[in-house]
Amino acid sequence: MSDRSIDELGPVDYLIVEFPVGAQNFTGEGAEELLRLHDAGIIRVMDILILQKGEDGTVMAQELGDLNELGELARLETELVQTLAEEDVDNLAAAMDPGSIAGVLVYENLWAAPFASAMRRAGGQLIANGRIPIQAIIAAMEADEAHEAVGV
Amino acid sequence: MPLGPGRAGRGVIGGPVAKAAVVGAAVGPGPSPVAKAAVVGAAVGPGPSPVAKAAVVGAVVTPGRRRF
Repeated sequence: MSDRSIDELGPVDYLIVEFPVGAQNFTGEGAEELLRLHDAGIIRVMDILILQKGEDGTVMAQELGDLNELGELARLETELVQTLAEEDVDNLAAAMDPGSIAGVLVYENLWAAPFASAMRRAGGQLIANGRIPIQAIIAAMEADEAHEAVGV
Repeated sequence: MPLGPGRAGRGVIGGPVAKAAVVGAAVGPGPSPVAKAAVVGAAVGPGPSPVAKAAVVGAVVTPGRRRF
């Protein structure tokens, strides 16, 4: 974590991207985009795990170093801080369907760090955050339009 | 394949992860009360995440959406 203090740390998020059976089309495009975000200083990749859930529910976890063909992702390996522990694997895999493969990413939102730090210095506390699915926004807009159309 | 020794110890996720809600469920008939999340400082301390214990804030959500 180099010489940055906790107060300078940006919000840290995780995400799991599941690739169901029959939809595992890995071309390397995702890795390239991830590296682009990391190299641009938008995020800092903190940890990556690859999970594979068998049809019987067993879970196999792999780290970047376990993969045979890392490509450009190899240079991230030395920068990871191994945020996730073994006990996290079962918790994360709970969301996966049998037969699927999932990539788990833990990342710091570098873009948000200065603002978050300023909020903390001002005495602010994060009381809620979340992500709104774009589909939900579209559905809400459509509902508004339908509401206006009937003139109520 | 077992994970490396650096993966021992306490986890950070805090509990089983539920699959993200189906879109339909996220577009309910109205805004739901927002749970008050844990203070950021506490989230970086040792121990399980206190987010799960968040208290529900009653009725501060204004119905409808603001248009910009």
